[in-house]
Amino acid sequence: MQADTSPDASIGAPAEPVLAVEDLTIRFHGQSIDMIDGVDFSIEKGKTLCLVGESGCGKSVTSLAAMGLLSRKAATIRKGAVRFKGRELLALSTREMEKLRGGDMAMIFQEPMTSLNPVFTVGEQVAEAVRRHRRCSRSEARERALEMFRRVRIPAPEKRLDDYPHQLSGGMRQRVMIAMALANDPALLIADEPTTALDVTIQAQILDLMRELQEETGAALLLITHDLGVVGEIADDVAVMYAGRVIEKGTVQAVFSDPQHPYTLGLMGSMPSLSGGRGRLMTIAGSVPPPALMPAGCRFATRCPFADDHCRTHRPETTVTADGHGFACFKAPLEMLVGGEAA
Amino acid sequence: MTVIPETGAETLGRQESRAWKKLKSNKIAIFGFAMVMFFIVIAVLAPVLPIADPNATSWTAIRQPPSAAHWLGTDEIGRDIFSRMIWGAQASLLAGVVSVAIAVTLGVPFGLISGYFGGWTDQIIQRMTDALLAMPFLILAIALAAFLGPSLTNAMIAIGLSAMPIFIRLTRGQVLAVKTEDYVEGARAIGLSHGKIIRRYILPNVFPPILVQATLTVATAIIAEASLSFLGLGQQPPSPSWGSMLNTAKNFLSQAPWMALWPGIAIFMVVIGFNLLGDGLRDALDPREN
Repeated sequence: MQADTSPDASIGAPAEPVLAVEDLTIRFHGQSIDMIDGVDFSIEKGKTLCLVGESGCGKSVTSLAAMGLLSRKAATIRKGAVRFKGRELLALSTREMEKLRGGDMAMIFQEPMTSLNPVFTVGEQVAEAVRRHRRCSRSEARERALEMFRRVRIPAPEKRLDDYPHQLSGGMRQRVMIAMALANDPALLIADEPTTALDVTIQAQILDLMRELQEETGAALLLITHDLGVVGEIADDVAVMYAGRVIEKGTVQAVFSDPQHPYTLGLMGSMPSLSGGRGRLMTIAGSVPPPALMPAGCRFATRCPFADDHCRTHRPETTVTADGHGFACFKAPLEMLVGGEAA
Repeated sequence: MTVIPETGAETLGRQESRAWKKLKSNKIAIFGFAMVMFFIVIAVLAPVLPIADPNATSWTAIRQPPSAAHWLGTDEIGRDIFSRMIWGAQASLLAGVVSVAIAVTLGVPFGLISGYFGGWTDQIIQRMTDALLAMPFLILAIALAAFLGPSLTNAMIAIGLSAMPIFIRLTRGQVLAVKTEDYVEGARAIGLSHGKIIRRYILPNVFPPILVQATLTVATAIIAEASLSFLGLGQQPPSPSWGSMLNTAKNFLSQAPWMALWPGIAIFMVVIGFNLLGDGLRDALDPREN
């Protein structure tokens, strides 16, 4: 109550983003470079932002830092800000963070098979999340859990409440996780590869469910994925990360139809499509350099077909066009370089 | 409104009955449970059973073999061994259970803190555990009991402290495995505090091995109590305990072997009982097994 002084509901004022990450810079102990280097993005109410990139590019670390779940023993946040509804999260005490987590901001993890406590029934666990953030009796919390189970369309919800995690399939467990995350009507939901561990038909169901629930609740969704198919299906905006930096961001239409960074272009080319050509998929040569060999300039320079000495030594700033499409590349626009190939 | 609390109670019932059902279907565990219960009932009922005074001596019935008057015979000053066995069960079981309770209540929290928080706390607790573990269990118990002075209470404290490092180690190891589980991070993500996570997420998941270890340690502690009493550091005369009865009996092995036989069998049975029960509990309490 006392903290809600931000004018987030005032009509006419420009919409304040639910989550704004600004210049976030994180270094792991014992490493010489920043694992997360100046990451910037924001999500507005009711919108979905997909954070895309290959494994190890820092997507999950960024989301953990936003949730305040990054272990201080492992890493230090060197600079930057994480603002949630205008509140600076990095300055909050552990206790204040605990109040927010699972209440106003919630998270779903990649592995539904192991994300639930095996010794309690799934109903008890959802009820526990409810009781952590609301004053209510056990039976009211259970009633709320049941309501959430219905909303995430778990069949026979009354019976499933009393099931232990091992009695449910992966898809059902992920529904339970979603029910638990949404039980306190969060303003922000962070989902870290929520469908990666599920098979394809279940993936589609879970994505549909998340989209529907988001429309119902108006929550902002930060979806972390490496699957561009998922991005195309669910995202409003997309931010592409490479080696700890956001190298391109904008609306899905802008980024997908007119990618400006060679890495994004490479990602697009490496995505199989049903309608597309029959040729070989494009690959991006090489791999992410280890920290010691990371170039001082653009981090993609070691793999970029267009890189020159300037790229290797100077860090490209993010250029933002009028429609909010941002990219960090000296060589943009790429059309000049690749001619018709990219189209 | 009235329906909901009922279903809540049913949930709890269900959970209990699941473990109970599994335990019941395990015949060996039930056998162990029956043995343990048999001794517990005897120990509890000792004051009301129509048996002879365990400390009443009789110069006319010294070292008599089992007979209709003295079912298990008499000892070197004519006390009824049957009666002393029953009263001795109290000392043995009490020593076993209380000393393990001491070991668990001290050891498990240390292990939880050590494993969960790591760092310096962990280092300090673990080095102290190392030091305690460097001494053999019984030697440590004897040393502590001798230091505290001979009495059953002190023997229980000594045994409990000696058994504590095992529980610290066991708990810490389990915590290290459990705390990296995704559901612990999930618990952080729903805003639970460290204290609550330790109580609700870590402890229940490390509990089954601790329970099994506790049951097995009860058996060890009963033997340790017998050993301490045998050495005169436990139950003090004339009060009976199985260990002190063995102690006296060793002097009359050739003349009155029954004096040693009954306490020996009793210790063996109650130890086996606790071991079988412990194994059964381990299987029954694991929610991951079907």
